[in-house]
Amino acid sequence: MESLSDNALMLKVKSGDLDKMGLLYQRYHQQLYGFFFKMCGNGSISEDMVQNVFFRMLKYRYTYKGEGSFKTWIYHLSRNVFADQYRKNKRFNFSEDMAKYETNIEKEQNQEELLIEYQDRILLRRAIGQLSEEKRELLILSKYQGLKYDEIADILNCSAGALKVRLHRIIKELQTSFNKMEKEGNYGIG
Amino acid sequence: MALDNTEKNDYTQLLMSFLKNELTDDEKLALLKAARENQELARELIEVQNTWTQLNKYEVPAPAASMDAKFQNMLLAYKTRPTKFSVVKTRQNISDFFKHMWPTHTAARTAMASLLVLVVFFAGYWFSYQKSHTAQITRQYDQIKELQTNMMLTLLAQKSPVERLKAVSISQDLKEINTSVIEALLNTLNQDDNDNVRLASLEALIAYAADPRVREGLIMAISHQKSPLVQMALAETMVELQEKRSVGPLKDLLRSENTPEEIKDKIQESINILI
Repeated sequence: MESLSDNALMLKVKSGDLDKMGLLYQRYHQQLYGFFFKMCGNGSISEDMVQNVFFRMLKYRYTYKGEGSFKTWIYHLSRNVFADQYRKNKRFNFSEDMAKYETNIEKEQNQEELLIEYQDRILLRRAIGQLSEEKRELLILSKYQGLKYDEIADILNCSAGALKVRLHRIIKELQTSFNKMEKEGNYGIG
Repeated sequence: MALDNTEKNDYTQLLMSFLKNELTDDEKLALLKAARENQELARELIEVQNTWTQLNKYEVPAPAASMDAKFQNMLLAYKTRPTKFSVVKTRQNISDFFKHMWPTHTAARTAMASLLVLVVFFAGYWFSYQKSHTAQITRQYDQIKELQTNMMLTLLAQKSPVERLKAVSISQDLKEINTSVIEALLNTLNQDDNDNVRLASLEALIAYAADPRVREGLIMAISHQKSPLVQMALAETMVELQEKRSVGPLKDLLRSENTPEEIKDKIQESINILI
């Protein structure tokens, strides 16, 4: 059963075998959680949004045609869930959930390395959090979700070429942002 | 050598694909060769790759352990929820039903077709029966209405005021009023010997005041009244209905020597409001 493709599993769910949704959850929940977490910076909201995606998959299973890529479909649903949540919350606060990082850091040995690592993470998180919603989404889809440019182009409904140019600009913007924050020693959170 | 815009754009695309390891070996070699020959491109490649690598440090904390349990609960709740009507599902079920139930054997197909013809015939018969049944109910309703009207008219002709009051009461039960009922009630209002019966008929007529024939009749009834009670009730009714055409007949009552003084005050008040 593990070898069944995502598409085949979803078609089984569509035909009434709802238990197959469990396998899709196993395959995708971490990935989607990562997507939402990087988009909003809040763990519990991200968990809720993951649940919501799988609920919508069940609810709208009749609309699944199995023609395109399953991954593209699930990301379309996820983007809609995020847009609804975003409309509800207006703007997410990127300063939350840092405690979880701190817990991880405490386990490390070298105190100096630990501090540098911690500062880098804050910097990175802050720089990504400062990007516009649209730019952050493109960066996350390209860098962290294991999607190819063609798949992202399909999800965002644009050409792969245009997408690469936009991503290049985002990287340059982040670069400037890192340099500026490093110079200012700006590790403040939020 | 500086790169022109087209070259920059081409290399940007290659660079981005290089970052995600989406270049063929030949494309990779071509890009690296170009970077060796062009300092600007080499610097760009190093900077962009550094930033891209720096992004690896963004770790996501693990979701709460309860997340899986929440999903299982949601799935279970969804599976055991009461089924709602779904157009798509229903359509699919009907389609599946015919797919599975339609026989493949010719004789069986003929039998199934005959059965369908019979079903259609009886359905048509049933609808036709329903239609005639509705018509029958309408006829019965008309008959009852006619009976009530006749009974009311008969009772109005009775000598006993109680019977005539009953007649007025029946008129109030009628959902639709016809000309004969309006005329009977107006006649009662104008001619009945008993004031209570006149007042009851006035009450009954007010309910149909939207009908212009009733309004007209009420205005004309003013001059027929001798009873101060009915005169006062009519004056109040005219105010309620804001019937300015009644001012003339009401002024006639004011001028009449037979109208008691206290009633004249009330009528004057009504005229003042109407004017």
